[in-house]
Amino acid sequence: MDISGILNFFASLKPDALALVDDSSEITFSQLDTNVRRIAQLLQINEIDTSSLVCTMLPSTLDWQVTLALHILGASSFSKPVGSRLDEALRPDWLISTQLNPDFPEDRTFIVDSNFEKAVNQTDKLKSAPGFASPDFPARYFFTSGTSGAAKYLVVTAENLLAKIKHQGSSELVGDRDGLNLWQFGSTQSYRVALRSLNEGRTFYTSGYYDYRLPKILNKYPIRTISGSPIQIGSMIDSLIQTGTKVPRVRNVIMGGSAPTQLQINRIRQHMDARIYNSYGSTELGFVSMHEIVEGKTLGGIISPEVKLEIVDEKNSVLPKGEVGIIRYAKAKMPRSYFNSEAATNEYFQDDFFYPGDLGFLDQLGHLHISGRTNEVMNLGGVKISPEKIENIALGTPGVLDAAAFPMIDNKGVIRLALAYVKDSVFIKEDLQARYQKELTGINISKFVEVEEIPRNENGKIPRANLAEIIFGSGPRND
Amino acid sequence: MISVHKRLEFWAGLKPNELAFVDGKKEITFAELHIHTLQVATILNELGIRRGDLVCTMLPAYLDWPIVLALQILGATSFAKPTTANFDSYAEPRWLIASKEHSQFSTQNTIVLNEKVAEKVNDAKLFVPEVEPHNFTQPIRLSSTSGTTGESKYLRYSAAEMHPRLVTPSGVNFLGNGKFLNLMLFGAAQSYNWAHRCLLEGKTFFMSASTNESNFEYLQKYGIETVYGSPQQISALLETADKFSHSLDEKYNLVIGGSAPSGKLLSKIREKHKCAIYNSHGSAETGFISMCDLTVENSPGLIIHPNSVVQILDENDVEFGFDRVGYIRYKIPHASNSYLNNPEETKKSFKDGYFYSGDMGYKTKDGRLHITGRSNEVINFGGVKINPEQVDGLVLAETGVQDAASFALDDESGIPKLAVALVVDHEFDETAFLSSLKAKFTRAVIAEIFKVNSIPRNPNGKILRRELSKKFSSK
Repeated sequence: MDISGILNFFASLKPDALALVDDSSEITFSQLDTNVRRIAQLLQINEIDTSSLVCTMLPSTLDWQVTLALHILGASSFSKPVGSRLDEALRPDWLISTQLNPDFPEDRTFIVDSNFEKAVNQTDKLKSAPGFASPDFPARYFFTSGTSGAAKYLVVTAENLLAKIKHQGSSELVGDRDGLNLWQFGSTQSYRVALRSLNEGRTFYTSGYYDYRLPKILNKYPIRTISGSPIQIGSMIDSLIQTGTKVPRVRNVIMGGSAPTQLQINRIRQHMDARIYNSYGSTELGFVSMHEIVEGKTLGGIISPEVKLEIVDEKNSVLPKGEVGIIRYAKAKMPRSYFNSEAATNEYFQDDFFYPGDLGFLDQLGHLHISGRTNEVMNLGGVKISPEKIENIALGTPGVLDAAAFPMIDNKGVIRLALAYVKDSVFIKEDLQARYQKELTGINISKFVEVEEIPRNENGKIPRANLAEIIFGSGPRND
Repeated sequence: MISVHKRLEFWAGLKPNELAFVDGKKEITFAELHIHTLQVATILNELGIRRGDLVCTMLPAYLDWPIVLALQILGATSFAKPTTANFDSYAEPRWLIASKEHSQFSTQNTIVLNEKVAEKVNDAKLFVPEVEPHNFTQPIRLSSTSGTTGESKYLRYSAAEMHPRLVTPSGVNFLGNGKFLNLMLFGAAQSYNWAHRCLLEGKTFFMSASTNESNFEYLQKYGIETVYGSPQQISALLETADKFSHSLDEKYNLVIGGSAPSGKLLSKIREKHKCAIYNSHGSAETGFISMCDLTVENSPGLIIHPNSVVQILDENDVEFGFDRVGYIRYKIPHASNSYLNNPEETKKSFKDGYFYSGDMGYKTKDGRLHITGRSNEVINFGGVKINPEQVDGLVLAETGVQDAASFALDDESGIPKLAVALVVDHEFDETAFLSSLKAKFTRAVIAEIFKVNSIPRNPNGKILRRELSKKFSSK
């Protein structure tokens, strides 16, 4: 895909139209073209080229411009949220970030600050954009916590980047073409929508904040559709309440990553007059199914005609309609492996299908209902965490005798992460909290609760799904 | 690739009550389109239409679209013609589906859509399409394309050949919120492709066969901000705007396709409307190629889309450098490479993977394309080559000239002379006109002036110069 050509085309055709809008900036196609070429030139001077693998940790509008610069230079890239840890699964050659990273050498880090911006503005535009070296060049890596909760990466070739934008994602299936994306920029959803918007010369709307800025965006621009995880949509509702904002123009709310709870749906209905949709899919294969949430009806997801989906038993025999089993699905052009992870590949990509680790069934209409997870992985609005990983941090803290991580629903209907622990006399709560802050970036434990004993069933398993009810009694909780 | 009934089923499941297709006052939801298409398929199948049959439709768009989709599901090949059109030897259909019988076509194989058929369709069961995998390589559609010669040529597509075009955005997709009102005939390749693209993406396809006041209602009602049409259609729409005092403000985009708009039309728009004006350029053979913003005067030329490769050549196919006028050829991935049953025209227009559009033009250093006229209209006056579009431009700038077309008129000896047909108003003064032109244009003399009521154009807005030559040579 000729990204340099596309940038130039829209910079020439509609220079003053908005290419990119977030909570703090508006960037036109002309500015985008100039910025990207200047950034690319600056990076090229600093030895970033087609052999480089670059990680960006930047706010979304900056991230998109740097990413496009890396694309036209032909470098490989991936994005992570600002302040993330770098893991062993994918080590970049360079880091471009707003801050230094404890996991990465300073001399290979570009700090994006006012000096960087000054340098960009003083740099000439890149003269010729080499682009990706070949169609099978590893252009982009995407992080996924899916299936197991452990960090994995998918690699997308230059050729498949183009194929990616030819398919619609859940956020584009309903409403007009002007939608607001609340997904983090590094995610496949957000990246794909950004690239597709560029290819069609449309504005990419995004926001990383859930305060007064978000209602401002909704009121200023002709946004009719909003998509994000239940947590993100919940935070958006908070911001609408806090600022007393009404958004009568918004017609559609699409939630993906995980299913919203009834309480969340009620909150949306109280504050917005919009149709609510739940979509299902994965970083690995993209959009799978979606349905409107209609009061008083239990509807299943309408499966994309591009997807072949089956419900199977443990021996991979296809189950009849109505029976709960393991979900597996496939698409014509799909990834077949995780990057550098044979074990995960063998586990989740089998027999030309992807196994997302979900359980579910097909109803008589052939619509999909999700029933749960095949393993104990908890799904917090698309962020999947293995409870063992959470518990191991607690168990490694002095004074903690036993621990159980479990999901709980707060009083806004959002699924949050809670930790129950059994302590002895040397336990200091602040130490435990500090440890989580240090070792668990991007994931927040909403409630720490001290218990006498962790409940276990006869097999020694923790009944995580029911733990909130056992510990707190029924009903939603607030921390 | 996904079969059309699977797509219909998906949208009907996900958003049954949203609009799939709007043709003037007729609205069709996704659920209706899904059910109706499968019912139509059942009836057409009962009436004898089979896989591989070539079927011509002569219908208004809201009736045509479900039938075209049903024919695709049945594995038949469809093509559309205006009701008044005649048939030709390049595409001889086995069936005709129309609102009334056609004098040139067998009654036996004509399906007239009357109330009786409509009733049958409403009572019909849903057709059960063949089990996947579907055959995507069989032809589903013929698109006719008529150059200035007036001769029909056909392009043939399978679903597999058409798909890459549908997933590639073009022209109108680049503007506003992507919603647009299409004024082009539904049978045109573009309209058909856009309707399919809308179905692929689950968006509403808006079209209108008229240029009357209701179009302004539609813009309001559906929140459409972009209108696409040929220069004539746009011009007619603006006359309606004048009549009913509508004005298109900054948020609207007028996209003119089919042929480049005249300076006159552009100044008319600029004078009364604040909307943006674009010219979208391409062909039925290739699809979208380039585009430019004409909102303000002195456009620097068409911006070539990065998917397109455009070359300017001399007569021996040698590429010219910048700023030299020559023959235009271009290519994009997935363009057509032949005309159906017409090797002669195929040879003329398709070579080395390029399409020879018959346009003349040049490219500037900044990569922009300027189209100066048609190669096959270049009039050769004894070695002096005159581009009639250039003459049109000069003539149109004269006082009292509303519309104009220059053309070649053979004298008794068969030597061409330059003639112009003019649509004039009361301000027109022939003597002043001739002397002004003589001063402006020295390469040839305008030998004859014919005052006419209107300039003949094809549906894409291209002037039918040969028709004028033929008409006036006998006088």
